[in-house]
Amino acid sequence: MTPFEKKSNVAAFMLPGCILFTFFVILPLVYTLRMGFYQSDGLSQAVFVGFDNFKKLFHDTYFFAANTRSLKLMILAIVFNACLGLATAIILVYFFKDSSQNAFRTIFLLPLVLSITVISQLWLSIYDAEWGLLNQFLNLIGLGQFQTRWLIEQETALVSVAIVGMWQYFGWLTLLSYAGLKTIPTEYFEAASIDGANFLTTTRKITLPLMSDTIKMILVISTVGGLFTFPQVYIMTGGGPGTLTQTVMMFIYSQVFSSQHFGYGCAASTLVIIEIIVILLIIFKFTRSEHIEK
Amino acid sequence: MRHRLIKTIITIFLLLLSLSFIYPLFWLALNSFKDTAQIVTGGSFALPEAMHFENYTNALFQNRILSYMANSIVITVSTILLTGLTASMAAFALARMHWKGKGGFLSLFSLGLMIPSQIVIVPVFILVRSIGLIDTRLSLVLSVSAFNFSMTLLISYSFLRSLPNSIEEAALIDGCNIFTIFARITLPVIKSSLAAMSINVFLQSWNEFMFTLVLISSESKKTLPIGLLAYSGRYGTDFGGMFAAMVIASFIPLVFFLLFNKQVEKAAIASSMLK
Amino acid sequence: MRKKGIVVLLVLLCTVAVFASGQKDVDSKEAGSEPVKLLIHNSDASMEKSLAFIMDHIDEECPGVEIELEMVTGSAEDYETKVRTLIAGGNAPDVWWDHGGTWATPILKAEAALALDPYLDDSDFWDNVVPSAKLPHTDGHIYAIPFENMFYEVMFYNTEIFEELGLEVPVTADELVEVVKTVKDAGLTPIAVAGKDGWPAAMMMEGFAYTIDGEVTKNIVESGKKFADSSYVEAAHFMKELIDMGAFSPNVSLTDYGTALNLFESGKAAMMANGSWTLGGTFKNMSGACDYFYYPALHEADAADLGKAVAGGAKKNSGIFVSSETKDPETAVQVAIAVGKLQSRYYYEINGDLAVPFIPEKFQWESTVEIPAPIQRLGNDMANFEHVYGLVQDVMPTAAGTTAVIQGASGFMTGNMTVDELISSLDRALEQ
Repeated sequence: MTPFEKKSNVAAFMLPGCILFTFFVILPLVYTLRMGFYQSDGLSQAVFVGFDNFKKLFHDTYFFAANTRSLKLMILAIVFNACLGLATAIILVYFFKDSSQNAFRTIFLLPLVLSITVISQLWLSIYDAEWGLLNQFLNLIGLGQFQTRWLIEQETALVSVAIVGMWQYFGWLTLLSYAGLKTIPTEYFEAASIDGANFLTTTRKITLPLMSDTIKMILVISTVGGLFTFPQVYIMTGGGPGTLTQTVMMFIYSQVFSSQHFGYGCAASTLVIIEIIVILLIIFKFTRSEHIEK
Repeated sequence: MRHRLIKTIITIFLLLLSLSFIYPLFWLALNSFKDTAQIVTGGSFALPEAMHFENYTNALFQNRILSYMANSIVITVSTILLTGLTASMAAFALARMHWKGKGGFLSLFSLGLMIPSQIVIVPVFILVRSIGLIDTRLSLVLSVSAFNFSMTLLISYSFLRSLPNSIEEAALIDGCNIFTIFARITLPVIKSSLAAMSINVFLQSWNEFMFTLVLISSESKKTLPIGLLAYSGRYGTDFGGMFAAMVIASFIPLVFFLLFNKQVEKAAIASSMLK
Repeated sequence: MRKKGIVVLLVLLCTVAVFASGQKDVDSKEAGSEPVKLLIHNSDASMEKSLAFIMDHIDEECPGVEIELEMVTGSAEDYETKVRTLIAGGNAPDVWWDHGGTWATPILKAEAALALDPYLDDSDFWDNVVPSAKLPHTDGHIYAIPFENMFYEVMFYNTEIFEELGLEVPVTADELVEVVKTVKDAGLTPIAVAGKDGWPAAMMMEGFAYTIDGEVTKNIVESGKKFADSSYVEAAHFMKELIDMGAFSPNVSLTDYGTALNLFESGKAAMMANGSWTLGGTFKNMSGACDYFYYPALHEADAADLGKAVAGGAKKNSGIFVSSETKDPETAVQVAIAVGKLQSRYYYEINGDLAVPFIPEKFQWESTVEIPAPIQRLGNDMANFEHVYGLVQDVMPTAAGTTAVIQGASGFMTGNMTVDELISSLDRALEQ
């Protein structure tokens, strides 16, 4: 028996991670799933109520509204972070010299190291209805009629929240796409240019199919990031005004902590966990089929 | 000709985009020298009427910005190390060792990819309390590591799987024990993918919000995201001071980033090499 | 090489910062064996000042007891969340300030708070506080040492601005509209209110509703009346009118309480919808340029009765709580009483506030300031109040109801919500 087969060795290597994972992820998760079937304020004895919480959730318009907002944020993140990031990376490599590529990428990456609180406070000031940068900028370039209360109006609030997440993660997704691009051997592109393929054809036929793993990764990052938007909403608006920017994470937080509907919040968490698993499986399936095509 | 036109349009677009990344930061710095009255009366594009350096001295000496930042750095670095070590060990066991039940573990761990950490905040709190770690920096390191374990493990695992294990086998014949093989051969090989995942862990840990909110109560152990929040809450109307605090909190990370920009890129590229 | 130098320097800086902050912890822990943990909500700047006063004098009240104070910033909702999380995790502070109302309900239900009456009844405690501070819970026990002063919802106004613009205190809604117009024309924000926190906006609406029916909230909470059938509807319509005419700042629904208070105190806003708890402090901060009026009557006929029905008073189950898990209940209760008492002393001695729960004469406290005129007036007015009932957000039957009132009021302040939408969301909150 080689050391690679010895049970004690396997255990020695697996154990630290397993302990960490079991105690901080699995157990809390099981607890959350279980609490979904109880009515509890989080302090007194919980009462088993079966599927009551779930039945109530399906009739809760606030939950549906919050969930819709989160799904919208997710779609915005996919379109503007993942897709735009990918496009920017491809365009940068195709059109620009190394030095200007680097400069752009560095600039886009700047927000990455800022604390989320700094980012949220900064954007809260930018959006301020009285003295915010955005309104003053619009005024300056003669688009004064577009000034609005960005985080307060129904039409703009959600997009304004989404932009904060985009601003933070855009550079990272561009960089990841760029990194994926760099792994494609240059011979492919040379061959394509000899065949006379133009930029669009090359991108569609070679670049994108060969980047399917990277695409999968950035899709997952932006999906999860968009769907679970929390700190920036918490800091900027607290889910308000009213429930205007209440995302599904804010809804759960408010149910569990503010309204003391602990079991109900856990039931909502369970639904959201199922939702994200389904979405991720769809993404995996979608990107896998592309993988085979190549 | 058409190519050049497209390039010009794209360049203008990218320059505008860059401006939207740089100008807010510049504005932040500009405001940190103004007093509240000038900030709220508009004139975002005006220079400060007088330089209010006291915004900075107040933030530095009357508040604990540096302490918040130091906590953030200590916790983030520890989290990266712990995640990297536990994940690479498990990846080694899964990719290199021969045993039954690997598939089960792999699918169990991929659960960790999908669970947002905020959802399980209360059970985590109860757990941390029962093991006597409440209000310690370690509690944050452990919980954040646990939630980043899956991603790091799965990436390291697939990276390791894509490499032949002949070197390890050879080392075994040379009489090395398994821990030496892991430390001397495997770790250096997956270094680049670990580095890339570290950036991801950095992002999660540096911006960790909810766990700190409930797990940490001492002022001296608070991290930047929570510490700054309290700062701006308490002095909600001293905007100049708030902006100064934000500049201080951003300065060191920005310097680090600009110094190690190249390494960040390399790490990202390395992570994409794996299939 | 230079790169490395910068890095080393930065690392050094961080290490120093960590150790500098770590050092202090060690010091405080060595001093006593079992400090009493005290948790207080750092609700606004004045709370910070009064706590500094309390910590300076607490040794006089409970000598030799070491106290570990933690002040938590953020909204009241976040603070109460933190308290409950600490209790749920078995890590409750020994002594803490609870805002009471529905927030305290689960704490009392879970028996996490110590019943204080056995300790208080044996002492001279009840002789030293005003009778109205004795508000037992439904089970007959007392759980809170009074901490906040008694307060009523009123409108603050800046007397200097009113004088400059030649304005009179409005007694009817129409007069208020005129005042708002004049102030707005002068380029100032007419009314400051914390729309982000929601409850101040709810409080304002309640104030107008009270001018028609002084028992409106009581009837809703206790007799099952609906918001839709109450004077809240008319009050909401008037609020809507104010919103539409720009009586509030554009950013009002994202303005928190601290910012709103600062807007008013700094003279950028002429009026503020507030509770009388800050009256003394605000009077001082504005060098006396502050006074209050009761909510103007929506119906002109009711104008004569202004100041008879006011929401507020002493809050049930609100104040300093002691944990049922505390190791040394005797000492903890002693600390709780000391904190409540010193808070009264601070309000009385420093701010000249009269509506304090502990009776100043019993302790020979001497106010360092002349009692501000508005406080004197409020003290006299209190004798004439005919209907007093808790603020709507405090007396909702459940925490979910409180949250709904807060969210509804905050959403309404955007101006994008109709009166019907607001009222029906409030009625739904009752059903929760």
